[in-house]
Amino acid sequence: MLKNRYRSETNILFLIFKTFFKIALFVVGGGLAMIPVIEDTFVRKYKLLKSDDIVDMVAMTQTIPGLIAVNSAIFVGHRLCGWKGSVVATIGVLIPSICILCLIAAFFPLLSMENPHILAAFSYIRACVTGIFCCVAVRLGKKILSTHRDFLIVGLLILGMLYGINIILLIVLSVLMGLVSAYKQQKEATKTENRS
Amino acid sequence: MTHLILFMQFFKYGLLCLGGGYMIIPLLYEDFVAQTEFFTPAQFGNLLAISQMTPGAVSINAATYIGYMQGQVLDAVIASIGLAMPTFILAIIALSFFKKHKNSTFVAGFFKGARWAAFVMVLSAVVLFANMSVFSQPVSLDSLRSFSLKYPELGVAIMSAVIYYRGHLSMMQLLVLAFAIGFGVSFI
Repeated sequence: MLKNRYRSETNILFLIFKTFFKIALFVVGGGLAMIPVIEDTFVRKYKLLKSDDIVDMVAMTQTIPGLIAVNSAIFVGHRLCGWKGSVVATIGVLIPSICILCLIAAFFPLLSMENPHILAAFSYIRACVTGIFCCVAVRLGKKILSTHRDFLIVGLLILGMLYGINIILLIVLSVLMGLVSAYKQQKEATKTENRS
Repeated sequence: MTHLILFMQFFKYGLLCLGGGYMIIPLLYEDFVAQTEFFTPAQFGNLLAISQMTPGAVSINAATYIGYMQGQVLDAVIASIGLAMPTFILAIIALSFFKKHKNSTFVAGFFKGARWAAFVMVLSAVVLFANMSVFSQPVSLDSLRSFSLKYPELGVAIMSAVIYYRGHLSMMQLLVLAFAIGFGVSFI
């Protein structure tokens, strides 16, 4: 069986590193785009994880704060090899990004870019990114906007953003409101339970 | 000393990226465009477009690029490690008691709030990018009545939104297509 080949810890650690290095090197589109590739490699190819693990992983990246790419690397590393696996996977995800972007920054300096054709092309790329972000916003909105309360709070946050309230303050406020609404819901739930 | 400041700055962004890497965009815009004018809005947009087009996590790519511009390779490494560090610490803590507290009210409320914030941040990123491409002058609350559109760019934005939403093309293919259209149009 494949698993026997990777029995020793160093082998698994190397495999984790190699896989995440490759994923970060070839997958374009950020953390969200990495999830199916992770599933493909660890579940189908190496059979080291089950698809239930991937479901857990997606649940975790959606509930635990932070960068999705780093979160999923940590989760898979942790499942396979404990904290050592997490460290190795995170390093594996970071190195390609750092190398590629350093090369681009060195040979493609943004501040002194003057070629009119490339500048024009970038204007269209920014338009394309606008469209992509619209999609991201719509998908996220579909997921999180369900009750009147959600709409009200998001509306308030947007107003705050428009009138230039500090972003950090807004994020903290939003988390606080999330906590308040969760505790309120819990209270209401226990009340109705008591009545019935 | 400057290295420490850089590290702390990106550590802060990492802490605030509660709902994923996209949340870093308004934060970076505030610090590097609105306040210090380190980039012009268009340069900032190009930076993020490049981070989007290159493989790997978008926010880490942006952090590396900005770090490199602050100094050299070392600063790039420091910036991206600083950004990833809070996620790493939080996730390691969370994994050790994730199973037990998955359904606790505190955790549920915290992430509900984080996701609201993430949604508003993505919306704000849409506005930032629209100002850099679709509108010929940045639109704000004061100038809401007198905006002018750049129609070719608007067309590309709508086209890519529809195509990406339906999943016909991947993000990379779309961006390359947009680059090709822009490059071609610039010769006309």
